[in-house]
Amino acid sequence: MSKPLSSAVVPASKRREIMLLLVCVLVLLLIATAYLSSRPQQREKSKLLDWQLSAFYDLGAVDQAVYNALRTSVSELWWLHGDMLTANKANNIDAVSWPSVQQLAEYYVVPPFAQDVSSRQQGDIQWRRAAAFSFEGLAVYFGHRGTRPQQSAYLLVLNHAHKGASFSNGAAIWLHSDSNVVMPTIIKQNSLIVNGWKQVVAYSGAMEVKRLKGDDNGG
Amino acid sequence: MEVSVAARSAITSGFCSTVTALVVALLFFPQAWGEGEKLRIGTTLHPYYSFVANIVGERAELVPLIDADSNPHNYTPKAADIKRLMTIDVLVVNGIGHDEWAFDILKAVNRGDELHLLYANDGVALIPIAGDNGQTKVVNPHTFISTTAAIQQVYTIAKGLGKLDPDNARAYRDNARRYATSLRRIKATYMAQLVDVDLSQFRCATMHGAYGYLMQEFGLQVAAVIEPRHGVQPNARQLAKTIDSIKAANVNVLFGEKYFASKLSQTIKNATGVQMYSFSHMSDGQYSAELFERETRANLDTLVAAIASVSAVEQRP
Repeated sequence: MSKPLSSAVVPASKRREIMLLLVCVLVLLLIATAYLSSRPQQREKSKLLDWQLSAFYDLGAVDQAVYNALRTSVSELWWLHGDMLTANKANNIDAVSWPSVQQLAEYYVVPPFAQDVSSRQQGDIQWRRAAAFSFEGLAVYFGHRGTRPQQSAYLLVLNHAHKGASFSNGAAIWLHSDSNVVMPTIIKQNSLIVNGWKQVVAYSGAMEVKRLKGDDNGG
Repeated sequence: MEVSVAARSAITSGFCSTVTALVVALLFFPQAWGEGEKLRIGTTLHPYYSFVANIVGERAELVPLIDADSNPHNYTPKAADIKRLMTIDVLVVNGIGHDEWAFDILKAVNRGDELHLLYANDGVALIPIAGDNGQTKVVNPHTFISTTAAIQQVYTIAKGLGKLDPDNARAYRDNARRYATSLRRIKATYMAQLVDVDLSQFRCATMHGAYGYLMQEFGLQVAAVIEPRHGVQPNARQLAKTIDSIKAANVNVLFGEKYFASKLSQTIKNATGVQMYSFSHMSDGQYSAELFERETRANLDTLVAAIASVSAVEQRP
């Protein structure tokens, strides 16, 4: 009965293979670290001017809710303006072609104008259609005297991007830190800024898509 | 050996059928949307199916990208999704974190410029997930669980579809406005039920960070969210911390998930004494034009009941 023979065979490249493995691990770690550190972890606060506020970062819960409701009302307001303008022209009537606050609240039930639990929670803001000129395409909805702590006053300015443009136009929303501020008499950017109004800038879905997918896919 | 052959045969057969299906799809639907044909619109989540169905009516065809019973939180794309993607002209997406799997499917099928992507949230002003205690603000992607943010998306989708299909643009716009009015009236019905109710004592937490937009439009706030991240269950330490937060904030109602129930909710209820209610995440059931309105009513029924219960408790001597 012969004793089994055993012997350890060390490959000639043993040391080189270990070194190669270590280098590979190191390279992978470096790549992973570089990727993680370069990847945006959170949305950058948009580059805002000192007369602007971020709806995402800077507003309290009440102001944020009012702002979001106002922003959503913009499309409907432009469409209603189009309807009213067409009807007024057809009937040869020279009348304001923007819906009144009462129409928005009672007939169209458009927030934040609608008088309901939400408006109560938002401090019973007093809204008025502060100016409306049928053919210049400018309307302003002004809300103030909200009763919630740290609540602002609000100004929704609807304006044509350029004269003769269609109804898919823009709007700007401004906030004033004094909820009892009176209606501004001049609705122009410089004048509003001088009088303490700040324009609110949304962190929109388009911005988030851009952050998630990169510039190519951003909407 | 027999098992191995059978398995290999099944894999080969499955692969061949997928490839065949793809080739057939490429041959027969290179650009499905031709002159005089209906636009074929794909949707990712249930609410987007409802939105698009109400905007287009019979003027376009709808193709849900994934099966109706799929959970959008942990979805893994299937071959059938790729086949569906090959047949559509435009895909309506959430795009801000709730249907990332759709982009995996898109990567698998490089259709380049011939497939239009419509980002429903482009115009929505986003808010952070509630109850983050001042830590890093994280975008809440659940814009589809509310009426105000839903209406903004309906408008965006209608405008986007109108650009792709100008002949029907006016109809899409008018339908979108009618649908928006209908959604606002649903909300108004529930607002009316709360007109005399004191909301000052109502403080809630949610299992899933999905209901910030819904609460916002009622002027309510979420004090804490149990999930530390979207779709992730808390570990023991995180749970203990959240229970402390709930107690500290005097939370009296916890909203769980109607379709994704968690055993943790009972644990939290036992530890804090909160009342439990469940919201619909709107991502379950058959795709239908009515789903969004039906589930919105269900959620608002739940919210009104929860508020009423707190109000009743507070009024007790």
